[in-house]
Amino acid sequence: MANNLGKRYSCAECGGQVLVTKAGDGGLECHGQPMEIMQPKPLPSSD
Amino acid sequence: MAGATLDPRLLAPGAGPSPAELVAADLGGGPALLRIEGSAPSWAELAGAFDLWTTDPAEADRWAKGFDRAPRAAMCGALLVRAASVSGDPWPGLVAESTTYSLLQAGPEFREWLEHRPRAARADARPRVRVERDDRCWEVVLTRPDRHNALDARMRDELYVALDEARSRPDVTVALRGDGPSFCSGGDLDEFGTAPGPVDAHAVRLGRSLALLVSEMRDRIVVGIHGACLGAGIELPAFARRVVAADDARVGLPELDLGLVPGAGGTVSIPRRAGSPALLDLLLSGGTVDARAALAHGLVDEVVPGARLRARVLELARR
Repeated sequence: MANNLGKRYSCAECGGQVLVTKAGDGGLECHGQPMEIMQPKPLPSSD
Repeated sequence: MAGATLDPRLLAPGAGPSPAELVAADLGGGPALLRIEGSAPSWAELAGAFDLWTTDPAEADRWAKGFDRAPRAAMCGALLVRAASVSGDPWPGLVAESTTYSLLQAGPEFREWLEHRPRAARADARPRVRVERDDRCWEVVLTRPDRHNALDARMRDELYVALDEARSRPDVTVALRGDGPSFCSGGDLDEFGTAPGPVDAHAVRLGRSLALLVSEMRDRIVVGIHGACLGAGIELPAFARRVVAADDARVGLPELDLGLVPGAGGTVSIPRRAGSPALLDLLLSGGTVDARAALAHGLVDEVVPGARLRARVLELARR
């Protein structure tokens, strides 16, 4: 699993978040479980 | 407002040799009308001194009418084009464009358009983007056919997620196209005026810039356009190295009618593809050009029958 630059991952257990500042292979784990990639939150129209 | 400072500078047809028949418009100020008589400057001097030039009075008339519709927006568009670099990093140009767009959102021409446009609230929560992934080529499809794929905030966010994911996968190529009668009719007019203010809109526009994503992936994204390709519907494709148009494509920049300039990167992407005069021509004319004319201008790279569009885009993306 690739960790992509600029992506945020969160832990479902503790709510902790990490921000990837250097891309690379491997998994991110917290509380013994894979962390989930966070989707960007919806933003309002810019028009 | 000080009208004289915003008047287009026109060179009217004269009686002299061909350069004196030049009709040109300088959208940044100066005298309202210059008539050249006697010895004329060279074509090169004139081309360098004016934003646009033509030997066709009808074309000059279209530009002047565009200018009259929204002189502030036209002036801002011309200033952007003059300041933009046509190569290298697109980011400074995108920042300048967004700044100008937000400035115009706070201006009188956009306010007047908002007051007179019909109101409709037809937002729905259906998906706006479908991604079909195979190993190396992802087909990214706009899925709002009943609205000609009008780009609203939901579609922007979904497209941003899809393209951002593809961008982070250097082994993946993207074929971008739209479902229904059109590729994309531009920003969703129903959302115009709903931005949380010009400053926050600036932050959203640049923080979630589809233009930057397409630009960064330009060598591995192929865009197929058809039907109405207006505003963002041509501004974003123009960043890609390869754009295929169906023969029914109609390309245009309607922003001036709203008192705005292109806001999806078009003042960067279109000059880089087709030259600065092509951008100002589209902006001031306000109409659309057909697929053949778009090809002649360099706005698209090839034209295919509509029934062939998807196959051709996938073929190119899979190379």
